[in-house]
Amino acid sequence: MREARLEFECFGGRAVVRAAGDGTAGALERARARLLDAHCRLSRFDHESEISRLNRDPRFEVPASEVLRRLVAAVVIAGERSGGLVDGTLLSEIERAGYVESLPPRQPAPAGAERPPFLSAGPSDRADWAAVRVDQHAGTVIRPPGVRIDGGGLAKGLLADLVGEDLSGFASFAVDCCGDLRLGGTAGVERRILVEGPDGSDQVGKLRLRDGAVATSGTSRRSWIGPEGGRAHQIIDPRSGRPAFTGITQATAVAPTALLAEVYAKAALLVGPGGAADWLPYGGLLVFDGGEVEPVPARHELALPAGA
Amino acid sequence: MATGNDPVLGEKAAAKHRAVAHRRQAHAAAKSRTVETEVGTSSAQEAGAEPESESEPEVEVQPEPEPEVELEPLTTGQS
Repeated sequence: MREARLEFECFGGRAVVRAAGDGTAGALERARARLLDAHCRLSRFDHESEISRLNRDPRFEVPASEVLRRLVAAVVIAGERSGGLVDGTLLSEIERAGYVESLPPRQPAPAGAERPPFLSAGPSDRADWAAVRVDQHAGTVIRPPGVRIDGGGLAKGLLADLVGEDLSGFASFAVDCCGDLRLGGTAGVERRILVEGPDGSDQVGKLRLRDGAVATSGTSRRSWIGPEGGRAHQIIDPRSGRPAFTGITQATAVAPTALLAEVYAKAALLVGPGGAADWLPYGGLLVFDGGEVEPVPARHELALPAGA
Repeated sequence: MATGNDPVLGEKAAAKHRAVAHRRQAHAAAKSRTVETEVGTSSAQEAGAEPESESEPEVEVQPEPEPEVELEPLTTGQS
């Protein structure tokens, strides 16, 4: 079985779509078009993107495209599934931490920058995500003006799922949205998944999966010196509104969908070493701040970590 | 909530996954039963039981070889 493959820049990184079977060329081109369209609509770095216009719209109820409605629905799902730990309404906090323009995906962590003591993250008292909803019938997003949506990793997971559903009739398929993976196929063939280390250069573990999704969240890449002179990154503790330093540098999660994998990985990282494994019901891999690697076995059947 | 049954947002995909896992378990159980039968025959012979007929040709049952398919590995990492 030979897979066709298409690779391109998307979501500030690299996307790869693969499929085996008849008619793959057209299907992969449609997958690329769908991902690039979503990128244009959901990029907060483009002032005229649909999400940027939504975020400054003064109305309570705003007409929105299907993909934007799905992203907003994903923000609600993430908040509900994680008890508010994974909060897609923290755009102001991310910008305040210094993440105001697109960063290269391989930007190295700043050397020597200080970080605050490790602390488990928690949900925000404000819980703006709970005030957001979608009216699918009217084709609108409803939220208090001023509550701003940040797609971030949720958008990558969501789009991996959407394109994966499009390709699910092929003997095998895989969608890689900058490291958020959705894979499967009618042939049920197992595939190896390599887990990159925090600096992106080494492989720290591997998984085997026939059908499902994997996502990785971490604090070591796309990090910078914050406005207060300390180390900063894009994973915000909703409770403090500041970059989270919990003792976990990177978390990888397996789940039935890439969106859920993204939620589980981020929640595991945010809660810290004391409870991270509880957030990985389908297994995964944790990398601690000191560099130690811990495979987490699945409590539900989907994939078994093959070891670090 | 308008998102309750969205297939990509969890519930339907998880249900589908459970159904596939159930089918695979049933398939594995069926294969397992076949193996048990073979093992039972073999054990009886080892214990000294006479075969029904010595003239009966020996039939070797071998599992069908599964096709070896190697897909390109994927890589997950911080985005």
